[in-house]
Amino acid sequence: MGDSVGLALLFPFLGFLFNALLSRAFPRGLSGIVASLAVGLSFVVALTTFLALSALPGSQQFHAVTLWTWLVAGDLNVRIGLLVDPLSSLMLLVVTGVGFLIHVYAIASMHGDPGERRFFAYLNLFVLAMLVLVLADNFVLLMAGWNGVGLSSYLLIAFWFERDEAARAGVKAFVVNAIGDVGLLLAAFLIFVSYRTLDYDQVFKAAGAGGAVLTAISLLLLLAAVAKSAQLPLYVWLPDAMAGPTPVSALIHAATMVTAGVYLIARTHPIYTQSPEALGIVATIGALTALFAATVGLVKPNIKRVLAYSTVSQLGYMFLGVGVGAFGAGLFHLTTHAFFKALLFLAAGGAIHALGGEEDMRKMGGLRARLPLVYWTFVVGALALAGFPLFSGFWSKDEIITATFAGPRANPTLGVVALVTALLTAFYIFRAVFLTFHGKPHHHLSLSEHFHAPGPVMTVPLVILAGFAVVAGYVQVLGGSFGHFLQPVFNRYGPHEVAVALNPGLLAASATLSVVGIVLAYVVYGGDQALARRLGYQFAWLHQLLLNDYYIEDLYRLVIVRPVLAVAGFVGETFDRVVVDGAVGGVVAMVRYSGAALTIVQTGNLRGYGLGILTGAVVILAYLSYLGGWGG
Amino acid sequence: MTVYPLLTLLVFLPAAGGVLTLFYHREARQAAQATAAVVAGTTLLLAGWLIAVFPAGVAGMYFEERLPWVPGLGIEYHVGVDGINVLLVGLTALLGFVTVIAPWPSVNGRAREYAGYLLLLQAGVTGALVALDLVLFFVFWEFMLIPMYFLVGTCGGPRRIEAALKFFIYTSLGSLLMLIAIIALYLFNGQQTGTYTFNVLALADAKVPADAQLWLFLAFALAFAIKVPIVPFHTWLPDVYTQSPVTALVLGTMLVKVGSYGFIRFGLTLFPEASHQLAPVIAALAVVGILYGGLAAIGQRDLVGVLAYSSIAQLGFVILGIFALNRQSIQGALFQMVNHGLSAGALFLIAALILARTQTTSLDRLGGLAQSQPVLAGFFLISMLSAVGLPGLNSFVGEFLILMGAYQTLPALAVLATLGVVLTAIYLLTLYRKTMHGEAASPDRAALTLTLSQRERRLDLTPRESIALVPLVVLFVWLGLFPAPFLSKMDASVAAVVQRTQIAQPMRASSEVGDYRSPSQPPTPDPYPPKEGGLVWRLPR
Amino acid sequence: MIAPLSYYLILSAVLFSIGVVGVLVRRNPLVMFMSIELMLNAANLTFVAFSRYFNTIQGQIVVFFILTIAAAEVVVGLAIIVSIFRSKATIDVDQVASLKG
Repeated sequence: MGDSVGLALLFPFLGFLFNALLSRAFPRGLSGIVASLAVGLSFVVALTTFLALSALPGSQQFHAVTLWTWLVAGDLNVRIGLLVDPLSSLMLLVVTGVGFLIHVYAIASMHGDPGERRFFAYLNLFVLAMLVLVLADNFVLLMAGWNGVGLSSYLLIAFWFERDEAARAGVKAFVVNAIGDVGLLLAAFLIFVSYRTLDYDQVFKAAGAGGAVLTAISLLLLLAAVAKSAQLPLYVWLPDAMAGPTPVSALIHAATMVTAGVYLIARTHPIYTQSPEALGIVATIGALTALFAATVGLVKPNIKRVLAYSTVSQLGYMFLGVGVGAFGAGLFHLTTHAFFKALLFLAAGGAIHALGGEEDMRKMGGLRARLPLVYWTFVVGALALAGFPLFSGFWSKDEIITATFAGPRANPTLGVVALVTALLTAFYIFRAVFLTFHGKPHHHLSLSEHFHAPGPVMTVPLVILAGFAVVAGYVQVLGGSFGHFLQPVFNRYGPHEVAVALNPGLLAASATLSVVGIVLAYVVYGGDQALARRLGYQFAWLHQLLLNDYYIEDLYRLVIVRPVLAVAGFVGETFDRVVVDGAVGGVVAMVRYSGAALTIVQTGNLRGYGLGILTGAVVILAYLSYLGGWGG
Repeated sequence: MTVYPLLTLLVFLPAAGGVLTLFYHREARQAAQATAAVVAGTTLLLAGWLIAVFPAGVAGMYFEERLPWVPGLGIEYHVGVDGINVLLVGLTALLGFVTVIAPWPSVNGRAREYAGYLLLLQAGVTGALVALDLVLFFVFWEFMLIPMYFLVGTCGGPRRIEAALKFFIYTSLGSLLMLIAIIALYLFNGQQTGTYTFNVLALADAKVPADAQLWLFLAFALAFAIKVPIVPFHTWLPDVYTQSPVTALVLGTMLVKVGSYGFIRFGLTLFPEASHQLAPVIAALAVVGILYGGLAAIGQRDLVGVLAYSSIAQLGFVILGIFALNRQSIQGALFQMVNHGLSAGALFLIAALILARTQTTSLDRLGGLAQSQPVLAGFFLISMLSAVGLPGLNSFVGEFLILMGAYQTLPALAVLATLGVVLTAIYLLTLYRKTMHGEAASPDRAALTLTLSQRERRLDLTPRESIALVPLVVLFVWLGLFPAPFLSKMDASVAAVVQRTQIAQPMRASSEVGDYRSPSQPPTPDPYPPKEGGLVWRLPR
Repeated sequence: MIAPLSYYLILSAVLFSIGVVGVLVRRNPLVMFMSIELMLNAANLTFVAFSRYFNTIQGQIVVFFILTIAAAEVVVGLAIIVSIFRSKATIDVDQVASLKG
């Protein structure tokens, strides 16, 4: 059963090859269909794997598939090996499932773009890389998927490359991710030096003891996870990543890419659980990021940016979850978030598409009447995100908050932060709802003929995702089967996962906060927004601070980017030319000047040369006879 | 079993072809190019066959040929391949083929000279790679300079003569010291053992005292360091490379790997103790090169300039790998030499194509090329990603092994070098953005677009240009996904070299320098001593 | 009576010196050539003398080589002179200074 999982990689790969190399010979519309089909087939493989796996008893749910040997050098041996276990099969399911819906949606939304074929090639590459990432059974192959995801995000963010802003955002995403890759590389080195292997299974078995080394490995892995999952302080690439087409944003934010960091920590939990310090840092980063991004999300005018910061914030929750040792809860939230965030992005994309690419919420407004389906699906997503009772986000978020208060590594301070963030989340997402869909239409296209109402290819994925955003939570709540399914993974190398029962008091508190947030949003933004303007005026400094992300980007520009560029310019232009070349180049100059000096002797007079030869010969002879060297 | 003088063919076939090409009439451009292409193609097939039949997992020389040359002085014509040079020989043949067939608008008037000198250069490089006699090696080493000098002089930009001279003086300076060291080693060994020989395999066992070793090693190292180049001996490189993408292509792909190869074949093998002693210093210089080259590349405003400094940084990785002195790192370094040849070759070739289309390599004037040249942009993208070290493509394998190996012996330097990976990402992606992405907006660019359309709108790659690039791209993927068969060909030879340097310093605990528990053969004594006046050709058993 | 070796050597030295002076002071390349021939033959004389003195054959063989080379050299030299005369209309060596650096 495990052997067929390779097919899940094969289909997107074939789709990528088709779109990259062959699709020019076919009609342009075909590329989207082929790409969707490829991911759809992968989803079928994922589903059969998942079903087969859940039928097995827990101890038999681990299958390793070796495709071929990759690297051999000395005692290093790295295979292209896949690991099928509940964790990877769950990720497989999420990536291919949500990915498939996004692909289908993209057929409609990218229709007519001159780079359509290229787009779907990149999209399949993205899914392929993410699948490699989650299926890898060793750290090097993980790295392949890890960097592959970074690459595809670069390609997709910079998809509209003729826009300078998109091209720059792509480079920024890649470079920030490269910083994280350094962490992953160094972690791999340290692991290899300590355990002489890079296979998950052997490393985790050996990782029982280690102390400081394990903390170091955990922190290096955390650097990678922070960069990939856009946590503080390396979140900066994600908001800019909005420069890509909307389906790309959905894919990056929901199904692939950013969830990789959470997955990495969950996957390497045997290492993390040995290091309480590292887990504490994970939880703290998560909570701070959740709060930070939620506050920034309060004021951003661009709808995609609001959603971007909400992703950063929700990933903070997931980090908080795995940081307090509730790995199952973290992954649960990852799953529900994949559904409702994809839904929010695609629904927002529907609104943006309808208005011919307008992303500024202040210019939208009143779309509820023209786009009822988009409106309702967006609201469903918003309710799930806000943690409104009985929607999926409510259950998963509360599991994390419960673990923060009551789990084995409980940290009530962070729990309070998480609760405050829940309030802010409900507020900012309903601010987006009210600004976009309620009130008066502000956009000139809102009432005109050119209004692009989305067709069924776009709306069907929305409806499906909305359905999941509502019900996904009950998988866990009713049967408890979600945590149960993952249990074998987290207890394989020792009892690392401790289930925490939901606490009714906390449930009530977070439900209340969510409702309060929604009501506040209605009060401020539901009407004529006079209150919003007044608040913005009164707290102008705060507004500016949040609008500029607490000036973090400017700080980086001042402290890192500019100095590096200045040093680079100095080294490249001045230092290398003048100092280094001057020192070493002296040799050349010497040769040249001595050559010039010697040309004086070159008179061109033949008899002069003859005389020179004669003189030389006489001098040598005289010297030899002076030595008395005539054989005597 | 039939015997073939395969290596001799690989050296002298291009040499003969080169001479022949130079004798064509000046106007017979097509004929000269066709001859050169056929010769290079045949050589490539032979080299491919060499790699295919070369066995994995064994140390020792294959296809060895041994003839007395100057018997009175113990000089021999002695060539052979082992795991260390076999891939490099193949790479040279491939790059020779690629550079010969790629059309050069900038050398149009001198196609005959270009092709002829290139084949001669290929012969010299191959000869230097397979020579096992120090005098023979030195002859080829010096011989490489001659076609190189003429290539820089004919195909360069406005300051080409100056650049060629600079290059020539730098490299001959290093070579002279090396010659003295060769003679000293010869005399030393002769006095000690009574047999005067230039045979590398025999000289490797000469017991040179540590302080003499140090000086001899330094003399060799200077020659190699200039050729590689290692910072601070690198200043000829930007000058020569920026003359034109063509010279950069030829130098960057054909010539530089000989220097780093020399470090392994001669530096580590002949002077294991001195290598061990100086390894941290040279590795530190290599890391300086990685960071320095990376920073300087970020600061460049010219396409070829970025690539030139990027070469310095990439070669820093190779040198770091060699002097980390363990199996992973040296295998990685050898692999990375191949990778650098391939990816730098592709990038310089693309730079030449860009120059041919836009008449400029200035990053301030380039931009938005991906719109009109999507195929070229695609090739550029994958070549750039190969150089960045994306897993799944070739360079990742080399870089990973180098850094992994270096981390075991020189952890601090390895960490610094890993930061170089970020610099690589910055300058290459920025380079790509500035040339391919963005829009054609500024007046300069508008003018460029205009010249493009006047030049009959050569929209994308010609078939011949594609044929030159496709094998490189195929190898990017092939070496990236299936490196194990190639790595296993090197394994045993590298293990033997590493063991020499470790024996030289027995006090280092094995846990400290990595794992050498896996059996590695000691260098096998030569079972076939040279026959008087006879050839010894050996095929893989 | 056989003349002693020193006679031959002295004669050879005198001939050689005459040749050297001729190369240095004359401006006509033809005369310079003759002087060079004189120097070569002085050397030949020495070879033959020593050959006879030591009763070996090698010296006389070398003389044949030198004679051949001298002939070849004159051919090349004369060709150069003719070609210089054609282009410069003079063969005065002081007027021909294209080797000037």
